[in-house]
Amino acid sequence: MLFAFLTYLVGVAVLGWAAHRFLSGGAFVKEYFLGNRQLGAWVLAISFAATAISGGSFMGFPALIYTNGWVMALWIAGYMVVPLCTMAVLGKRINQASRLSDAVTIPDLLRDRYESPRIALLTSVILVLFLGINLIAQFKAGGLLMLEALRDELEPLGWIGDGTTASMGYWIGLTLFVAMVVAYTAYGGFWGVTLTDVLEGLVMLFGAVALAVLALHKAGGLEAATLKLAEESPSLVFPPGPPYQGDAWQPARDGYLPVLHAVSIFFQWTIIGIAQPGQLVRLMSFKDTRSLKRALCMCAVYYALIYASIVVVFICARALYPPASLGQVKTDDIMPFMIRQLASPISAVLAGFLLAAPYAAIMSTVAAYLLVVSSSLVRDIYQRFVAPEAPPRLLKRLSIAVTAGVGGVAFVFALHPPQFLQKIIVFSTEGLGVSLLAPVALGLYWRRTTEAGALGGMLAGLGCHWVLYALGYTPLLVSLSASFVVTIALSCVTAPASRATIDRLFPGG
Amino acid sequence: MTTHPSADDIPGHMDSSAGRVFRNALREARWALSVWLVFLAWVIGYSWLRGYNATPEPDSALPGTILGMPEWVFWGLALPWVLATALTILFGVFILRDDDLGGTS
Repeated sequence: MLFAFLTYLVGVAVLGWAAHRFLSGGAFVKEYFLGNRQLGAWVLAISFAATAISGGSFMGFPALIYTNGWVMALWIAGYMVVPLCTMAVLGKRINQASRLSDAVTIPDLLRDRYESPRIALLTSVILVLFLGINLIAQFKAGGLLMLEALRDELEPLGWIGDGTTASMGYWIGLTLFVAMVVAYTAYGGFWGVTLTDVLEGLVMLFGAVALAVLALHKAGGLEAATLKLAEESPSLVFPPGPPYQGDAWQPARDGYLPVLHAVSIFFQWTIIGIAQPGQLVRLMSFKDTRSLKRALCMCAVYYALIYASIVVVFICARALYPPASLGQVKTDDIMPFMIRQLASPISAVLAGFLLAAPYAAIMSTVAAYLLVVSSSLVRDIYQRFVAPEAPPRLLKRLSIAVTAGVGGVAFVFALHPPQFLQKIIVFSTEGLGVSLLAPVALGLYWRRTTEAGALGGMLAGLGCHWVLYALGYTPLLVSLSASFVVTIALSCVTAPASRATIDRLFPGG
Repeated sequence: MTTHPSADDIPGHMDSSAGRVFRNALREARWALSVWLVFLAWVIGYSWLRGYNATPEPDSALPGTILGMPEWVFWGLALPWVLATALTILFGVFILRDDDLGGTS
C-alpha cells in the first residue's frame, strides 16, 4: 500500500520539478504567480475543480454523510451550478480586465480598477489572514492522513499513540506532507501547482469512482443501502436529517439541515464560491475563450461524477458498517476506514492509490493557497509598497523564499493546531466571499463603482459577518447583502475612478 | 439592401473588440445567474415539498425509491443535477461566445 502511495508522491515531485523549467522567462513574477496566462482547457478545468475540492470534501464531508444520511446530498447540491456561477459569471470578464490592467494578483487588479493602494493593501491583508488560517487546517488534515498511510510502518515503533495531533506519528506525517507540498509549490510556482493539480484531480476522480463501484457491490446496490438506512431511522433518508447535538459554534437543533440552512449552503457553494481567491487566480490565467468553454463543460461533468460517487460511497458505508460496528474508528476517519475495508482485501496497490485521493485533494488546495498568500506578500506588499524597482533576480529568490516561509509558519501552527478548525475553514471561506464578491463583481461590471464604495462594501461584509457569527446567527446572506448595499450606496454618492481608467477597463461598455 | 459592418466587426479595432468582450461577458453572466435561480428554486422548492414535509412516522412503510435513491432525492436533486450539467455543456458550446481577450500584456 505504501509503495502505491509513494509512487503517486514521486509523480507529484517529478511534475513540480519539471514545472520549474517554465520559470526561466523574463517576466518572472507573472510566470511564477500566474503562468503567464497560458492555461489550456484541461489544466484549467482540473486545476479549477481540484482547488475547490479540499480535504473537507474527502474527510469532513464523508463523515457528515455517514452521520446524517441522504440529507447531505441536498447540502452539496449547489455544486450542480458551481461551474456556471464561477466560470461563466466572472471568467471572461476578469481575464480580460486583468490583461488590460496587466494584473498578476487580485489586489493588483483591484488597485488598478479603483486607483487605490488602500484597497490593494486591505485585500492583501484579508487574503493572508483567511487563507493562512485555512492553510493550518489543511496541514492538519494532511498530517493526519499521512499518519494513516504510514500506520503499518509506525505502529511497531509505538509512534501512532492515540492517533491524534498529539502523537509522534502525526508530527512525522505533518513534516513529510509539508516538506512535499511546500517544495513543489515553492520550486515550481504556478505551473508546478497547476500541473500537479491535474495529476491530483485525476487521482481524486479515479479514487472516488472506484470506491463507489466497490461500495455498491459490497452493499448489494444503492436501493438495499437506502432501505437499510430507512430501517435504522427515517431521519437518515428524509430532511432535515438526524438531530444535531450542537457544539461551541452552533446550538443544538432538531435536524442537521433545516431548510434555511439548505438555502444558505446553496448560496455558499455558488455565490460565495465566485469570489474564492484560488479560483479567481485561475480565471485570470487561462489563455483564450476556447479554453474557458471547454473547461466549463469538463468541470461540470467532473463535479457531477465526484460528488455523486462520494455520496454513494458513504450512504453504503452507513448501511454496511453502522456506528455500533465501528469500534474505535472515529467518523472523521470513515474515508480511510472504507478504503481499508473495500480495497485492501482486493489489492494493497489499489488501496494505496485510493488513499492518495484524499491526500491529493488536500495537496491541491494547500498549494493554491500557498501561492496566493505568497503572491500577496511579494507582489502586493513588497514590490508595490517597499521596493517597486526590485530587480527580477531578487524577486525570483524572494518569491521562492516567501512561499517556503509561509509554509514553514503554517507548519509551526499546525504542530499544535487549535480546535474547531473545520468551523474556522467555513468561517474564513465565508469571510473571503462576503468581503471580496461585491468589490470584484461590481467593479468588473458596473463602471460607477467607486473606491469608497468598494472599501465600504468590504468592511461592511466583514463586520456584519463577524458580529452575526459572534451572536450565534447564520450570517452569510445578511453579510453578503450588506456588502452589496453599502458598495452600491456609497458608489452613488462618491466620485468614480478617473475617466482614463474607466475608459481603459470598460472599453465601449 | 446592403448591411454595413459595425465597428465591432472590423478586425483590429481594439476598443470595439474589447467592448464586445465586455458586452458578451455581461450577457453571459445574466444568463448564468438566471439558470442558477431556476435550479435554486427547483432544488429547495421540491425538497421542501416532498422531502421536509414528507417525513414518515417511525412505524410507517419504507420510502419509495427510484434508481436506489429516495424519491425526493431523485426528483429534487439527481434529475436537476443531470439537467444542470447538460445545460452547462450547452451553455459552453452554444452561448458562451468566442472572443478575443487581447494579448498577454
